[in-house]
Amino acid sequence: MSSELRLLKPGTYFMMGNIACAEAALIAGCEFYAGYPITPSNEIAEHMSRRMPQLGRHFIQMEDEIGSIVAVLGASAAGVKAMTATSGPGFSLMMETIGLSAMLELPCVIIDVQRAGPSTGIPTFVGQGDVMQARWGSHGDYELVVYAPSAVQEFFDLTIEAFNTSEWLRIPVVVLSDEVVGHMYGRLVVPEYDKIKIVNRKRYNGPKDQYLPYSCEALVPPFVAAGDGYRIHMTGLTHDERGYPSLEIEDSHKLIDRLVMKVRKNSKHLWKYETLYADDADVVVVTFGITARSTEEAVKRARAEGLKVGMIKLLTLWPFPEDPVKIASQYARRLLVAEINMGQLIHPVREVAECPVAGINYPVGYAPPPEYILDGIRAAV
Amino acid sequence: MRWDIRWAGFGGQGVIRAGEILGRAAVKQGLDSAMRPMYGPEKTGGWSRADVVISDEQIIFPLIVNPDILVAMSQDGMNRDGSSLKKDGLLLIDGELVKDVKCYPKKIYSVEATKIADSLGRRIVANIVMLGAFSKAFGIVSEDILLQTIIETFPKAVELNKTAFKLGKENVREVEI
Repeated sequence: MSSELRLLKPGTYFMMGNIACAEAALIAGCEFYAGYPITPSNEIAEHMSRRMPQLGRHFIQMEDEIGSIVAVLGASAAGVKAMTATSGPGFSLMMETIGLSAMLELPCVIIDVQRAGPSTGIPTFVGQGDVMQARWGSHGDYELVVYAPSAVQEFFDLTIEAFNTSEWLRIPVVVLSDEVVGHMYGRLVVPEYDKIKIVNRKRYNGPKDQYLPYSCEALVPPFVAAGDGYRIHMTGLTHDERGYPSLEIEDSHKLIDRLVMKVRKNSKHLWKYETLYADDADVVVVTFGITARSTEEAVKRARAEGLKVGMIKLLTLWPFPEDPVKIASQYARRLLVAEINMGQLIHPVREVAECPVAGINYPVGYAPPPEYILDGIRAAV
Repeated sequence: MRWDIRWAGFGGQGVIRAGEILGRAAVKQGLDSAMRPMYGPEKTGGWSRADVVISDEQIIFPLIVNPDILVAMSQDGMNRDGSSLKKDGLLLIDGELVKDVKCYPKKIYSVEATKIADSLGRRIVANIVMLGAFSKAFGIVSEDILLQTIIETFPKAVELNKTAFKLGKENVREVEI
């Protein structure tokens, strides 16, 4: 068997973020990819178009992003792990169906390699303007999980994590990358496969006449695939435990409560973050994605100047990691939120912080140099 | 020690591929590296840049503000990125395509990479000629590992690339400022 026909072997690589993401998806067990080309996510689709057929899996280029995400849900309903990748304009088109994914409880992974916006923006330049859209883009009450990598290794790791979380909770999971992390080449270590945790959705195999596809017995009902021989009805209408449309207020309450609570009650397990010098800092910078790389350099330089500064790098943006931010705010005099937008992540930070919060905002298009973050820190200390 | 190396040229010259090869060779050697490609909305003929960071420590900030070394493969690349070169930085140019040096480096090295590639009948290897010149002028990454990485990247054109790399090494000259 030629090496091309296998998964990426354990070892050390120098790889582009987008390609590391695609290889991670293959290792996570992604069997179906549907997408529409858009910069700066193209390398994911390009790589998958070559690799999926090599591994006997399915790749489809759809007519647009709406078709792509709907095809992904179809594959998920048939029981396979499925994904798509896009950037801002395509992400906007997918919003309605992300809500449908939450409502039908069909797991899927959406990669958004953020570029400078709004609208067409600058396709080849970086932005971090989709933070709020990723959380609130589809209408109605639902919860999802959003991860944000700041390095090639994290893009790889969090893509696998995204599949695991989506399968565990039967929800859409977004990996909110950005143009720099997507296009950047960096060191990647692929661990031995037995060290990589892979989660598959829980299946139902009980008696056919007792199966309730949207059972409220547990927060996450066990899954059967279309074609397994069970009676299934899926609808975006509010539905009862059988999956049939319902106008009963009790059914609505039970369903929506479960859709939201399966994420909220597991928040602490979903939070991923790293802190640096945060326990004795007067000023703590909260940040994510490529901006975290500038911030880490700035924080180290600030420490060298004798300034008591720390940082929290968020790898999970949603559900928002409240505890670490709240704890840091109880010691610090001020929190700063560094992001390549005009102020988005600053809102959930303000919601939980017990000290004043200010933004270090950088106009979209470029990653802020460490000096820029350092100036913001010096002004705040 | 951290090296910030910026390759500048136009799309089609292979500056991004050169940056990728240099970074991969550094990682093979046990160093840390990051390479950030940049280009405009158009690719071939448009502006193109590869920012390669190589360090013997883990790289925190993977991007480049003011490079230690600028490799200019076109006059347009020089015009765009010349002023970013660090004071006392080092410069490597394609001596045929870059006539007007718009910065004040400590040293300038020159090789007629595109002309040499043309003499081999394949202009596409100009970036490999440049890598040969880079290796001779600055080192940083072991020559053997760099050449090995080139061979692995283009398994179907081993001899051509070996020759291009060798001619780059042999023809690079330090020139007067």
